[in-house]
Amino acid sequence: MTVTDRPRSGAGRATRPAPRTRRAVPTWVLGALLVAGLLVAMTLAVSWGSSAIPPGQVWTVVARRLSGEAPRPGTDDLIVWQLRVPRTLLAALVGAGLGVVGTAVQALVRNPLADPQLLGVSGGASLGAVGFIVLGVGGGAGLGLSGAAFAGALLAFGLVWLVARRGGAFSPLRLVLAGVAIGQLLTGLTSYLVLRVEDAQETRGVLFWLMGSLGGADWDGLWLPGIAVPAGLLALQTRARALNALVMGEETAASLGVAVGRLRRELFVLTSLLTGVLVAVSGVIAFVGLMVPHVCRLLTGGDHRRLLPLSALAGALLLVVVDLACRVAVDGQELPVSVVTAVLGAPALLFLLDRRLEREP
Amino acid sequence: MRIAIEDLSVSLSGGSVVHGVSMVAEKGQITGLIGPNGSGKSTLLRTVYGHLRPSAGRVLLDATDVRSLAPRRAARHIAALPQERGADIELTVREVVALGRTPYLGAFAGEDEAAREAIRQALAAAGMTEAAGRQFRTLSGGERQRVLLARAFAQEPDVLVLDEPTNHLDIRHQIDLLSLLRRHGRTTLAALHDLNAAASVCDRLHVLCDGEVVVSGTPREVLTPELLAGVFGVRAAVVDHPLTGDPLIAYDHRGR
Repeated sequence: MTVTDRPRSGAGRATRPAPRTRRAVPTWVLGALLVAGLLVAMTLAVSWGSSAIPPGQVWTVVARRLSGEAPRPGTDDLIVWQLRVPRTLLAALVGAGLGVVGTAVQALVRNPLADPQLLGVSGGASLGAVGFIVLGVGGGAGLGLSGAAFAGALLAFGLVWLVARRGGAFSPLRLVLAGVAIGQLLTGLTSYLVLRVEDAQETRGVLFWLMGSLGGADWDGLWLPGIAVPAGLLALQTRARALNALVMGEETAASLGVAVGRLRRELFVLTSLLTGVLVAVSGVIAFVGLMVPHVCRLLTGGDHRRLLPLSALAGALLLVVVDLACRVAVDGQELPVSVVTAVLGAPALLFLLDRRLEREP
Repeated sequence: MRIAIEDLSVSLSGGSVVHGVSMVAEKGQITGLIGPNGSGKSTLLRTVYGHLRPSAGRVLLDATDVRSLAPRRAARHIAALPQERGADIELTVREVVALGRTPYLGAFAGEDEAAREAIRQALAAAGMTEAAGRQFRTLSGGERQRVLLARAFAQEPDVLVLDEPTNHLDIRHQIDLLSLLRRHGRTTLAALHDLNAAASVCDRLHVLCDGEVVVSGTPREVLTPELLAGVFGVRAAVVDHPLTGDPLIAYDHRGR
């Protein structure tokens, strides 16, 4: 009767030392490493380019500007402060935003393949941007490219909201179906507009925007993502415990005192608006919002209280590096961001998923 | 605390699933809910732990209407083990159990000493202390179920609501889990599939059929060959268990 004599878990193994519950790498170390990496990457990103500026010189210029000293006119100041610093900051903000939104959307629809584009907002933003470039829609209202893109994002958000709220539930499946259907509809309209463009140069500009670009960065355009991304992260962070409960299942979440319906509504609004802002300032950037949450989950586990801030840092680091690659990889030509994120991201994601599937029992 | 369900009706997508159900789960007792598939057991339980809103009637926690409490406040009194099992989440065992503290902790609050103590005791009660650092999704079905029960314990509830807690467990783990519930001695309302388990574990049984309570009473009063034929549609004899003396249902598996 060896089977029934097997020691019961609990009593029989009590003499063994309890396994360490602490993670291999504490969260604060991970966070510190990511912050350090981000600072190094941002310095390099400002330093490298068609005209190289030594990192020391980069910080001299930045320190002079930050201390309020009168800037010394010259090409260094122009290139560092007016061109590359805002672009690098925008890359960090957009990357952080995409990482955070990706994490939240994956929890909202309880699907690890979800990304910020899933809820249809990007399709609307694309339509707005392309409509602005091709037809000049919104130009009369003084919206500008980003404004038109954001208006399109709001349009898509409204449509998805109207479809998804039928039945009153915002259930994950309904959200995904509404987002995909409306996203496809708006993408189709966008493609039609692109086809109507006759000027090859204009077509290039449109396609470039659709594949993501941080080339439009300037100080004036930074305030919107500069407010939206930290505010969005903070709003999601206050819901981190509820997100953990939601990932266990909606009944479990309800039994833990989470108002599931309201939480889903809030998450949908937060992620859609933040995605709208990100797409409006940088075009449609693929893979970051999908990949970053997976990498961070491998590093730190699925607790959203750690996952959200680490996703922000990792997303920022990734996009700063990717944008640098976009600028310097091919001589005399800038690559669209999504080209690089897809080339780097697809193999990385496959590798990560492979490892994860191997760990399954 | 006791739970009193008064004249409760629940509608789902237009159709009435539970109509006019009244029952009481007495303090410190295990109250069983039995009935065929689709009889409304899960719907009734979901209403008790706040996932569904009743279309009529109410659920009383002692004298308080549960719906008059904020969800967080209600969750400090009533913990649940729903049927969903969260199989693919990337949390450790301790993190899953710590979810039980959700109703107590603010957005940015860390775990206080009360939380740590509740988690420690819950893990110990479920015999999962040593597994605290393991990934939840690498556990066996029986271990997962014990962890989820520990999560409910960590909520320090007055009332436990369990939806088929022994589903998908082998017989050894079923017995482990049920005896854990008995030892725990909290007010418990559980939907159970296994009628023999219900007969030996529950103090009182309520039989649900087509969304209505048809019989209530002690297992010996309720579990009769007539009821088993009428409600469950099976032929069975009810005898005394040779070891425990509890009612034992001997089914005729060859059919009527």
